[in-house]
Amino acid sequence: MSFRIVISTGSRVPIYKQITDQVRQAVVTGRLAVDDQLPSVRALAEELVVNPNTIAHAYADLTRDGLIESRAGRGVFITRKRKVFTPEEAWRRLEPLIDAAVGEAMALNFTHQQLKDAFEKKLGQWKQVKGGKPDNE
Amino acid sequence: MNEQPVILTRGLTRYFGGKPAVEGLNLEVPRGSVFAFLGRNGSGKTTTIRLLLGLLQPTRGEGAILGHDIRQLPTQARARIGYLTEEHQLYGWMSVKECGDFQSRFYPRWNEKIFRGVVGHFHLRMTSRVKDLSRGERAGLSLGLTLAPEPELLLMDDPTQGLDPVACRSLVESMIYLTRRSDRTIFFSSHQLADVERVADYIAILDRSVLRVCCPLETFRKSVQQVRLRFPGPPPPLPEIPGLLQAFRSEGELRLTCVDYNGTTEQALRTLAPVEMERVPISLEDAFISYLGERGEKSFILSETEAQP
Amino acid sequence: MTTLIRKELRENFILAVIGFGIFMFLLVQSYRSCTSFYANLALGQSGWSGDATIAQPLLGSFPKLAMVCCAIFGAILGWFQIHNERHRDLWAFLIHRPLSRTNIFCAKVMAGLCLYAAGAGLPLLGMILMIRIPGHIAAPFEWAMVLPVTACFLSGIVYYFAGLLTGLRQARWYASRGLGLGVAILVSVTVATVPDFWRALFLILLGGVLVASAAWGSFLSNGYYNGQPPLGRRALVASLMFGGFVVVMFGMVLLGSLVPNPFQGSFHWSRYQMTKDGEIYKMDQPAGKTLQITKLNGTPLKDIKTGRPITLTDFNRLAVSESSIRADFEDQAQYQKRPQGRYVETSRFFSLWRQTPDTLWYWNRNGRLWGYDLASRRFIGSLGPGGFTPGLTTGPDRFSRKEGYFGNGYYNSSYPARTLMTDNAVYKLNFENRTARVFFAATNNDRIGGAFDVSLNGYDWNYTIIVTREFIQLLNPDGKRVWQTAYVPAYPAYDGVAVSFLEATNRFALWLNANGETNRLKGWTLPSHVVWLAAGQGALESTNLPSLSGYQGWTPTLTERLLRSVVPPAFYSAPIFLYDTDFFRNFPWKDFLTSVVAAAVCAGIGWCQGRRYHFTVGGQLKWAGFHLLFGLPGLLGFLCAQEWPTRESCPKCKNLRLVDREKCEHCGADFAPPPRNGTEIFEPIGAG
Repeated sequence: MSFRIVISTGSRVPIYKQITDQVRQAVVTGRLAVDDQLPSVRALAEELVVNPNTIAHAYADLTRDGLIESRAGRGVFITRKRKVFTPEEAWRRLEPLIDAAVGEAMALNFTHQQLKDAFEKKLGQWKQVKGGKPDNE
Repeated sequence: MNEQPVILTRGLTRYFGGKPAVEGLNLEVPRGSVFAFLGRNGSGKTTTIRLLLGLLQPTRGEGAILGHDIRQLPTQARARIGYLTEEHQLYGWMSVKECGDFQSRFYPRWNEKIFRGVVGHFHLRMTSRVKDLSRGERAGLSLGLTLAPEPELLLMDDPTQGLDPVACRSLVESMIYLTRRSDRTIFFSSHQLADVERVADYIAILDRSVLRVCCPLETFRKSVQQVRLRFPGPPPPLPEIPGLLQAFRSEGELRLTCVDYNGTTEQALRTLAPVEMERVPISLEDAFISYLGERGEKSFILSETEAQP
Repeated sequence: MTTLIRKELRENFILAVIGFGIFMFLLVQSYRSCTSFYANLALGQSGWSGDATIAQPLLGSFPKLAMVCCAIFGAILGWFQIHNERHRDLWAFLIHRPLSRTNIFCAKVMAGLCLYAAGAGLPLLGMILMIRIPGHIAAPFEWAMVLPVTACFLSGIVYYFAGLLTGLRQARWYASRGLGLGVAILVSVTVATVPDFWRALFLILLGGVLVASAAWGSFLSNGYYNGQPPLGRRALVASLMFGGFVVVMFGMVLLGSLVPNPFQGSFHWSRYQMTKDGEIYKMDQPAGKTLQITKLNGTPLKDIKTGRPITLTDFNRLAVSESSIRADFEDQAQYQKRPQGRYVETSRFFSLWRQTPDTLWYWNRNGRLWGYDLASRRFIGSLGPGGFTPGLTTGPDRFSRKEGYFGNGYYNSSYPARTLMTDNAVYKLNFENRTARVFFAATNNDRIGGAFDVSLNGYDWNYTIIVTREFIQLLNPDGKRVWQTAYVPAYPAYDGVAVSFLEATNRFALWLNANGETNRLKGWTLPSHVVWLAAGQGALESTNLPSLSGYQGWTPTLTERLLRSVVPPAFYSAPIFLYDTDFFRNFPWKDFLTSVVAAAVCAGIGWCQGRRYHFTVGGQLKWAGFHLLFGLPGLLGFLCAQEWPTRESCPKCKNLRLVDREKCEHCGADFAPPPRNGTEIFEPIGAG
């Protein structure tokens, strides 16, 4: 399963954010594992036909968040180092996503129970993938 | 590292007849950047580029390009500046090879590999005559001729105008390729916001001959925000909001696009007592259109009263 | 730079070929009409009307054709060289390269001139060679005859630069773009009217350098006035001034044509005229009034039928036939060294003498008659006093000059002359035998000062008048003397000799008129001496008539006055360069003063304009001087050349201020940056 970043112009999401979101999503869903290599800034820029500074911005954000790291002479890799968020920061990151999910579910006329069951199912799947290990180390 | 901007203007002004085409331009283009110069048609973009190249004398003000006064650009400086014209015009009777040979005689630092590379990238035959080339092919040839002398500064006046998507993409790829060297600067004007979004570090917007924006692209995107306010009934009239670009009023809803949305603006809007107030992200294209479109309240082409018979 | 030259050559090659083709075609047509003319003469299908310019196209049709074609070709070539880049927005592509604009300009010009030389020069060269080769044109050829077409060819170069200038100028009024052609037109006019080639060359050089400098300056500044070096600006203003001059002149002529008889200014003159019955009458044309014909006692001559004063046409019918000679005893050899007529005129070189069924004879300026065979159009030989030789001799065996000679070469071949003179003898010519026999020999070291063959009906030879130092005599065609009288009053005070033929009574009247210059110096006191003679008898009676000053002058009309006042004061000095200094003896002071006044008005207008646009004091003075010299055309050039900056209201002092100054001229306020509207997003570089 090869991971490919795809960006689109004219979106409400800036390009750098599209990249960081996709990498984050890939890491979270397991498409990207620790020690997987990402293309260099230059290579990704030329592949996506995007300014390298944009790629650099995205990579800088990801590095700051502890998702990736640059290894001298070898390239950019997913890392297991995770930055510790304060609880407030963590909630601030999660809240918009919960808002979006709940809002959408209500609009689609799901019941509260159906939504809760969906969440339970997802969490179960996560536990399986991660082997039941807690994510914070 | 040389921190001097490659292009610097102070109060650059040019009048045509009684009206200024460009007025009071204070532009700064940093070295190594990809700088997009935007504005509606007739806002003065081509005039600015012509002023910078010494093809037009300014009425007032001054400018410097690569450190040289634009009023007296020395001939050797021209070897370091590449200029891609609108329409990509070339001598129709020359063949592709003849164009290359002709141009190469003038530049001591002509890189034939680059020329052939670009020409090959656009799939041009060496023996075709310029007058038989399509617009996109001519663009590619012009680009090859401009890139081969390896200029430090590349000025492009609407390079993707009239090009088909494939040629457009090839052109943008060439621009990305150029950024390999950090001392090369690209200054281009365009209407293709998709390409600008991909490729630009900085943008400047010329609004009716006056420069109103000159900042990194991200700053522009962060600054132009859309706020949606919901009301139980018809929305109340708007208070005075600094930085308001456009307001769209519909049943029970007010959508505002404004610049530099901050606490004060939020307070002002809360006084209208909306049911809901949220910030909505918008695309670069929408931000740009809001910025350059008509200011103030607007409706979609025809208002409801006009639309009814 | 050679790359650019090659590119220019390649780009404009077709234009040059087209020009070559058209010019060649027209020249060949002209040449053909000349040769068909000879063919018609040979076949006896036409006679020669006397215009010698038909004989030698190098002096006749070729210069006219060359002047028009070279001008048009030059101008179009120059204009196209700029148009090639301008109309396809290639200008920036051409200019933006590491080569100085002057170099680029020179490359264009070199290529352009090469193409011009090929397109306009090669056809001319070809035709000249064609004419040079014997057997093509039956008329004398000298290398000096090539000068008129050379001058036309060279003046085309001025048109070339004018074409460049026209293409370059970014002018708002499209008409002002073409003003540069005015210089070229003036050059053409002067080339056609100056007496010498070297003068023409000088003017072509002057005009060419002027327009070339203006074109160079405009090239450097992309067609605008500002941004040019001072030389370019000055040359541009001067070129437009000359253009304005041409336009103004043309305008005045048009204006004048609306007025009926615009140029019918009045000559005023008076002279004597004898009628067929031997009576002398006085004809007096005063300025602006009707002609008066009176008897010597003052009573006006009346028409017998109507009782009113006789009209000129009726009087001319009563007038007697008269022939006149200007006696000249100067050294004729010296005389021949000085060329007569302008360098473009046929009369400087030759004139038609005689046509026989198979030959054509020309009087050549070296004093011999040159004969050409009509059928083969080859030179057969020359006839001198010593006889016929089948070559061109330049020795002393030559005739001194001929009478019946008019400046433009017109010679009425229906009035064939029979004799030619040397210093001591008059020879009778026979073209069938190709001989010259002594017809009259001067005796006792007497010298011949003039000999004229008289034909009373236009084709028969009736008499020959011969003037020697001592005598004036009339001879019959068989050499017998009809009468002889002493040449008193003598040369040099009296050098005008005229004979009136009173055929009815077989009498003659001999008029001796004083030399005009001498008479004028003596205050017109030298009378005209008239002697009546009869055949075989000598003088019968004589009388002296008080001298009339002949041609007195010309009063110009209002139109002419207007024209002269529009001519700038500086141009009043032009005759020094071009013609002779006679102009300054009768300097038109009144017109000159009008011109100065008109120029002062223009200087005033220029001053006001300068104040409006805040010229420096030094600048104002320089322009004032310019306007005083160059008047209305100068003002036109001044207005058309410059770009006048817009003026806006200053927010601080409410006056109109120029937009191209950093500070307001009145209050010193800076130009405020454009007002902000609250939506600006600026982030200085380095902060992000």
